[in-house]
This record gives sequence, C-alpha cells and structure tokens, in this order.
Amino acid sequence: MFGVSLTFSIVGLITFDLSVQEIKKLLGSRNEGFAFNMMQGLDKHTEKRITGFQDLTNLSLIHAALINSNEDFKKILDIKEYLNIKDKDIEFSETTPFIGSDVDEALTGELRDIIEFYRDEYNYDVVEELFVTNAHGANVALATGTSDYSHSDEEWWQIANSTGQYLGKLEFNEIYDGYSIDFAFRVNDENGNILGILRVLISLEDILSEFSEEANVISIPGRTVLLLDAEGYSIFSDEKILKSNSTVPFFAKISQEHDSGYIEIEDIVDDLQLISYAHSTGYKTFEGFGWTVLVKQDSSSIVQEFVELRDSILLASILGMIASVIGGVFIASTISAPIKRLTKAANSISRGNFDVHIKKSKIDEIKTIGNSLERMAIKLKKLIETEKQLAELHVKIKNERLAAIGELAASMAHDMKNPLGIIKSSAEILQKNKHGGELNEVVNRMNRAIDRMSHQINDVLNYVRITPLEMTSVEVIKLLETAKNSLTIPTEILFSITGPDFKIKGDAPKLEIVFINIFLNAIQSIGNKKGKIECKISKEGSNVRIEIIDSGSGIPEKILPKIFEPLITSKQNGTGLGLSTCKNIIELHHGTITAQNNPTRFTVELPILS
Amino acid sequence: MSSKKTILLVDDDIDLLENTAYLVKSLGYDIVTAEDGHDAVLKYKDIHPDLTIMDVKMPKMDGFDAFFKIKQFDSEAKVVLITAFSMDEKKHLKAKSMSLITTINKPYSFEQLEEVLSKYA
Repeated sequence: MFGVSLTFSIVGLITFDLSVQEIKKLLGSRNEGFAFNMMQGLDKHTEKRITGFQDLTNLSLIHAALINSNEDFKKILDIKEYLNIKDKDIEFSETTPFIGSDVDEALTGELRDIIEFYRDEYNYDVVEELFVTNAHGANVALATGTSDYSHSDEEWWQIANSTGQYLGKLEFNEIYDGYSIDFAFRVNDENGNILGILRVLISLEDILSEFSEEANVISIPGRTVLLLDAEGYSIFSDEKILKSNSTVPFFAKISQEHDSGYIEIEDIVDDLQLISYAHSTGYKTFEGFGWTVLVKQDSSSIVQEFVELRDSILLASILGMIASVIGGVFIASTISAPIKRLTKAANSISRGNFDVHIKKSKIDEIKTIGNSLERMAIKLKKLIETEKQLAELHVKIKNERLAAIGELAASMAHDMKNPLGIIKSSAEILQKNKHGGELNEVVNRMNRAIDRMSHQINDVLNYVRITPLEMTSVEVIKLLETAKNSLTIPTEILFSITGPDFKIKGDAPKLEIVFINIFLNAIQSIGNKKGKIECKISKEGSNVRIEIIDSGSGIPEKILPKIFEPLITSKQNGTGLGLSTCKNIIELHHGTITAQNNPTRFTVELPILS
Repeated sequence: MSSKKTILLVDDDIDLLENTAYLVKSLGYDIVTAEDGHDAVLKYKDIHPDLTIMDVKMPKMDGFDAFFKIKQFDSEAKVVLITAFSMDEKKHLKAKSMSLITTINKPYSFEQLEEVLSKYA
C-alpha cells in the first residue's frame, strides 16, 4: 500500500512540476499575446494619427497659403537675415497674431477647426502644437501652442524638408506640462516641390489613450502592463503615463531578436516573475518607435493561477489515497484475510477441532498451505481417533478385567459369608456356654476377626453390587445421624452436625454407605487420640453441600489425587473400595464428591429436592 | 401343640443351619429345619410354623420362590428372609409387596436373631 502511495506521490510531484512548467508556458504565452496585441494596437493608433495629420498636407487651403507666403518671400532679398530679425522680435503665439501678410488668417482658422474637432472627438487635447511653415521655415499659421517664427535651422524642419517626414521622440514639454511627440510633414505641390512643413506635437496621453484602456483591463493584482521606450525607460507603468528616470533592471534580458516572447526572472525576494514582451514592429508605413510592451506577472498571481491546478493535483492525490485504500482492501481480501483464515484454522486444530474447511484462496501459495493444513487436520483427526479407540479399548479391557475380578471377588465374598456365619454363630455358642477364663478372650478375638472380615466382605459387595436406586425423599440431617448411629464413635471424638436441613431425593441406605465410609475413615484417621468430626451443611446453588471435616492425620498426598479410584487405600486392612463405592453412589445421585487436606475435608454435593 | 413357638429355619448350609438351630433352640423355641426351598414349602404346609427364617440363596428353589409359594398357601405366613448381596431385586421388591416381614443380612449376629425372634415369632 505504501508503494502505491509513494508512486502516487512521485507521480503527483512530477505532474505538479510538469504542470508548473506548463502553466508558466501557458501564462507566458498568453501574456505575450496580450503584449503583442497591445503593441499592435499602439502602433496602429500611432499610424492613424500620423496619416491623419499627413493628410492635412494635401489640404488646398494649406497649399494656397504656402504658395502665397513663398511668393512673398521671393521678394525678400536676404531671407536669412530677415528671419533672424523676425525671430528676435516675435514670440509667435495665438495671442500675438502674425505680423503682416505672412500669417494666413484663413489657414489658421482651418487648423484651429481641426484641433477643435480632435478635442471634441477625444475629450482631451490631442494636439499640443500645430503649425505650418513656408518653404523657408517661417511660420505661416499657428493653430495652437507657441512657436518661434523661423524653424529652418531646427532638426525636425531639416529632416522633414529632406525626407518628407520627421518622427520625433518622446519629450517632456514644460510649456504643456506633459509628454508629447513631435511630427513634421513636408507639404508638396503637384510636382513634388516643397511648399512648406506642417508640424504637429501630439500628446502622449493621446497616443497611449487606447493602450491605457487596454492596460487597465489586463491589469489585475499581480499582473501589470509596462511600456518601455527603445532605451528601456518605462513610459507607462502602474496604469499611469509616467516616464521613469532609470531603465527597468531586466531590460537587458529581453531578447531583441524576437518580436515577442517571455522570460522568467527572480527578483530580490526570490520570487518568480514572468515577463512577457512584444517589441514594436510598426504598422503600415509607420515603422514604430522601437517601444516594448511588457506584461509582468509575479509569482503570487501565478500561485493564484496555480490554485486550480493544485486543487486538481489534490484531487488526484485523494483519488490516489482512495485507490490505495481500495488496493489495501484488495490486498487484505486476497492476502491478509486468507492468512487470517489459515491462522484460525491452525488455532482450531491446536484446540483439537479438526473439522476445518479452509476457503480456497486465489493465491497459489496460500492455497497450498491451506490444502496441507486441511490434509494435516484430517490425518491428525485419524491419528487421534485411532489413539482414542486404542485408549477406549484399553479401558474396556481394564474394565472387563476389573469386572471379572469384581465378580470373582463378589462370589468369593458371598461364599465366605456362610462359613463366616458358621464361625460367628459357633463363637456365639461358645460364648453362651460360658467356659470362662482364657477361652472368653479367645472368643472375643475371634469375634473381632469375624467383624473385620465381615466389614471387608461388605466393602467388596457394596462396590460390586450395582442395583437400581430406590429414590425417596431423604432429610440430610437424618441421613447423617443414621450413618453416625450405625458406627461406634469413640468418646474422645467430638461429632457435630451444623447448618440447615435440606431434603434430597435419594436412596437412603446407599447414601448411608457413603457417609458411613467417610465417618469411618475419619474415626480411623483420628485413632485413639482426641479429635473432632464436623459436618457442615450449606446451600450451594441448587445443591446441598455437606462438608465433613476431621482433625485426623489427613490423606497421604501421594494418593490424594487417586483417592476415589478403586483399590487405593492407605489402610493396612482397607480394601480400597470404600471411597470408590462412595463416588459411584454419589454420581448415581447426580452429585459430586471431592477430598482435600489441611484440614481433611470431604465435600459432597447433592441436588436439593425441588 | 406345645406352648413353645415353632420356628422353621431354612438354609442349604447345613453347618450354619445347625448352629443357628442350636442358638434358636437355646432361646426356647421349637425348631424345624429345611435344606432347600422346596423342602421348606412342604415343611411349612406340614407344621405351620409361627415364624420362618429362610436364606434366599438356595439350590432347587430359592428363598423368594419358596416365600411366594408359602404366601400362596398361607397369606398370613410370617417370613424373615436372610438376604445376600447380588440377589434378585425384582423378586425382593415383589416379596416386599407381599408383606415380607423383614430381611436380615448375613452374617447376622446372635443379637439380631434374638431381636427378630422376639419381635415377630
């Protein structure tokens, strides 16, 4: 299961890593698209402005005004000198109209209309400065802004004069308090000869108007749009037109070979930034300013973008874990469970239950073990059954032998009874005839021997005789009393019966034999010494418990475990049948009999008559 | 008939029978003896003893069968059986149901014999 999880982790990591790369690629490309589109839009917008103002050079009104002005200048012998004088004298402005006929009132009005149009259209000043010079650089019409009178010595004028078009650079114009770019276009007559130059100063606000809007849309937390000029200075950043004083630090890393692309940079705090760029490629006739649009995305937003991906990886992990669990369950069901079953079967066999049926496993090895376990169980069962039969046979033989001995003993005992009776009666006759003296003692000894023999014969016969029980209601105390009374208890022995009386169902004479045996053993154990025999009666569940405790010498430990077996005795003149008979009788009454030492205690339990 | 009570003693063991007869006689009874069941029944019919003391285990006819025969003949007959172990329990129960006076065990003492005689004879 671990292996499965590990595989999932590794796969997850690799997937994550690959996905990170993929996401970077995706984001880089997407942002590159944004940059490219914005750059294109900017170039297109700029081109529209350029062509828009260039179209003005075709205005017949301008042509006419310039032709007039140029005609006037032909009359001036030293134009250069004239211009110098004029330049010093005049600050050319709206409030200081043109001097003399050099300023064309109509053209000025027309140009003003154009500026008005733009202002109405865009709601801001598109044009900061718009004026027209004649072929000699002298101002002819000023629609807006301020200007010198003569411009022929300025770079833009000369470039426009020689190439037909001048594209200026972004510059801060203190007069208008803003950035702007100047353009100049040569005004030609039908034959391509110069009539004059039209100059327009377009505010950066206008050039970047659409760009700003797009940038606002694209900018989200963590993603910003920058516009760099050809040297790497930022023109637009943080959704504002602002030219910075320093170049962006990663400008050098941006490839100039490709029109667009993206790079990864690590900033100071080791955060990843993804920078997509698009260089200006121009639009139609407009070659572009060499500007670059950047879409900068930092890692926090990348992480944001990663959330979904991470979630999907998480989902994959969870699925992996579920798969692990399912795998685990599968393993458990195919391996662990069968092994558990095998263990259970083995335990079952060890407990002696050989009826094991092991469910077949799909796994060959487990199946093999299972089969051999089953075979083992069957063989063990057979073996044990054979052993059991042998043991039973032994017991049977033993029992048969015992029975034979018993029968023999019984018939011998019985056959001895008559001769014993004769001896006994003869002894009595002798006693009756009173020979006196020593003979009396002889007769007494004979009587004692007769009693002993008689007792032993009864022992044998009690053991051997198996007769049906004659069940009657028996009172326990009365039973004990009767048993006691059939014995001569020496006066040194204190005999007591304590506890409540209970009635049991039983064969009184047979039960008497039991207690007579126990009492007799106790008496013999105490001998001629002082002692006591206590009978305690109590209730134990549905049984009556009779404990016979004596102060005698106790049962030899060696024979204690076998004390109820036949022919076990510690007495010189015992048959070893007394307690065995007791056990037989008690068991016939569905009771139990046990023996303990210290103090010597026989415990008999018999069911109470319900 | 003399005033002495007559006791019928039945036992196949002659020595025991004679010893017992001697003892009983010494107690002042008239004694008639029989050595088997068959003989006992015949003797009973002949002399109508006051008490019959009969061993159970005997050849020809055992004590029980002899008892049943005697009872058939005289339902008032007083019989004490000298029982032994390994006797026929069925017959014993049947005998009991037919008002068998009592049983005594071998080997019985002179006192037991005396008690039975004084009680039932």
